[in-house]
Amino acid sequence: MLRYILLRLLGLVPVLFGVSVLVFVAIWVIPGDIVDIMMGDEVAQSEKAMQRLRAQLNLDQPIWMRYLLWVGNALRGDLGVSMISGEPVLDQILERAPVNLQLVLIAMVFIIVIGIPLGTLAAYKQFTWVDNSIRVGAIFGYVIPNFWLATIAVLIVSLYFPRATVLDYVPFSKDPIANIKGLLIPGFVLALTTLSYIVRLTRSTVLDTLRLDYVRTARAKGLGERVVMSTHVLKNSLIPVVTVLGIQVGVLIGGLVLTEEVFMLPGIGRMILLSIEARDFMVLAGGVLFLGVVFVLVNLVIDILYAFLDPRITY
Amino acid sequence: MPPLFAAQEPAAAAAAPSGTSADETLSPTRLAWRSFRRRKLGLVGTAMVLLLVLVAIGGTLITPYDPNGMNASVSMHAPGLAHPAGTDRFGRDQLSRLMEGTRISMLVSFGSVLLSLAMGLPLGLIAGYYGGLVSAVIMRTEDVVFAFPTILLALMIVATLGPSLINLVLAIAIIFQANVARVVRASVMSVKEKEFVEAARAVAARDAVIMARFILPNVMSPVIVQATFHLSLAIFIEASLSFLGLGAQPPTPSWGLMLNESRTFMEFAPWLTVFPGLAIIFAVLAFNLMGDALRDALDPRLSER
Repeated sequence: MLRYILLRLLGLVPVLFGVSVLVFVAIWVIPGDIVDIMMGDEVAQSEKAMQRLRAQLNLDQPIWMRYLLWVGNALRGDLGVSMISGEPVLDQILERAPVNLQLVLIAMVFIIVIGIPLGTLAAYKQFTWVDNSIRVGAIFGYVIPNFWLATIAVLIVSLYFPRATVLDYVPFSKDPIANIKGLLIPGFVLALTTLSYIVRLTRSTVLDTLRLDYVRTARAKGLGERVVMSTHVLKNSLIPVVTVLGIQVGVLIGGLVLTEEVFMLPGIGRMILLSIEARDFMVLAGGVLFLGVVFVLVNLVIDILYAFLDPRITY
Repeated sequence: MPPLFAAQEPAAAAAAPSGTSADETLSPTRLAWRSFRRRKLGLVGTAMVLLLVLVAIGGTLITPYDPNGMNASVSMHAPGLAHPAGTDRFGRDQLSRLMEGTRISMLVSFGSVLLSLAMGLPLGLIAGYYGGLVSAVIMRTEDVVFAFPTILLALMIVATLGPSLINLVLAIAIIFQANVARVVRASVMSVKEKEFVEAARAVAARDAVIMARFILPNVMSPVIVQATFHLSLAIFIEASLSFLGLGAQPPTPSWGLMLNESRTFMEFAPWLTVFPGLAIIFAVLAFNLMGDALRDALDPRLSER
């Protein structure tokens, strides 16, 4: 197991290298002369100021040197400073990260607490009205775009509960309960697509397991349904669900950008959007790199977890 | 052609019970079609897709009004007989705009999926067929695409190329081609060990011929299923990025953009918010239902029941 973990950690190196190259090329190379783009609107930019900015951004260096400088700084925790506010990018990210973490955790709770039981119930009552309604619900839940649902949620709240504070963002440090309350609806909206997918997946894996011989044996030897379901069926059905949950973290991270935009939450997704509008490439690069690295690490953890959960897998 | 060259998927052929005379003579395609036809939801989805495609082709010929035609006298009208989906603040007929939006959705989704196939199919074929270092280089490069959350990668590509529908198509295609290459490579690796490929090699067929004539047709099932799901995902990504202002630009009637523009007035004109969302749901649902049925028909092992 230790060998496997070490191998996986080693495998991270090329992926993280690729991620950094992609972000570097996309943000610092493709757009062309960043200084021109940034200064484009301003009329009275002196040649000197532009030169200084170029030097500050290492634009006077050869491209590979720029990459090395950028990655070297990033590795030391220096993602540069915002080209607009002058604030260090990493500070902005760390300030905003708790909102994202909370949102993803709340969404995960919804997914696990609602998705897995509903999927199991549907499988258990296969072809009854319970199963059918859960399946139809899961199909619609899967195709409803999260940003539309978010917009409708905001609309309903503002139309029918004009005084409600369910959508106001309150910092956790100020009032933890109000903070979590304010994140419940955004968290649910963020969760819905994945939740519906997990319902369908759980249903189908549980159905597969229910057909296996050892389940019949367990029933034949007189075990109660509750015991059969919890110790024999669920335990073995959930392994693929865990893997998919890991992949779905990517969907959640992508969804953050949209959810934060509609609910006006001060997270990293919103920071990235604002940086695109403001052409603040330093912040954009830092934000995308950060979320990309987080996603890669989450997948690594899930992979290792998977190996723990399923003893059949040996490496 | 000698029977040696029958480039037929053996699994599909074996699936036909040899005892029944009717099934024996059916091609895999016919078998898949039979299975597909039995799935009512899949047929509903296919009908919905056809409707979308027809509306997209019809374009301004069938829209009741000019999608971008402004008429101040009917500004912000609620849905009614004259304007079934209401009008926006410029008095533009929303039904016409939603119909024109279908064309944009279909162009972006089919465009990006075709482009992703053009990139991913050859990469996957080469990686799967030659294996070794070639495969390692291609697949490690694709791993980088997988290392990013989809929307985030699309966001970054469009942000740097500049917000436009063409760049959006390119961004979506770049993301999808990684999925295509991965699926194709996996299928090629199993198909290339089959006897008919060996036979082709034995008669000294060139690699390109083997790949195009014998391997490609046998890896198409998963590719088609995947492409259908990609079509629905592309609609979602287009709508998402246009919603964020990074896709279609005004006055293009993209569903996502219409939804975004509606947010300022949604308390007074909720129809402007509701209908574009329903359009997105309709389209995503259509391709998903079709994809589910296609998967069950073409690739029964993956079926969800």
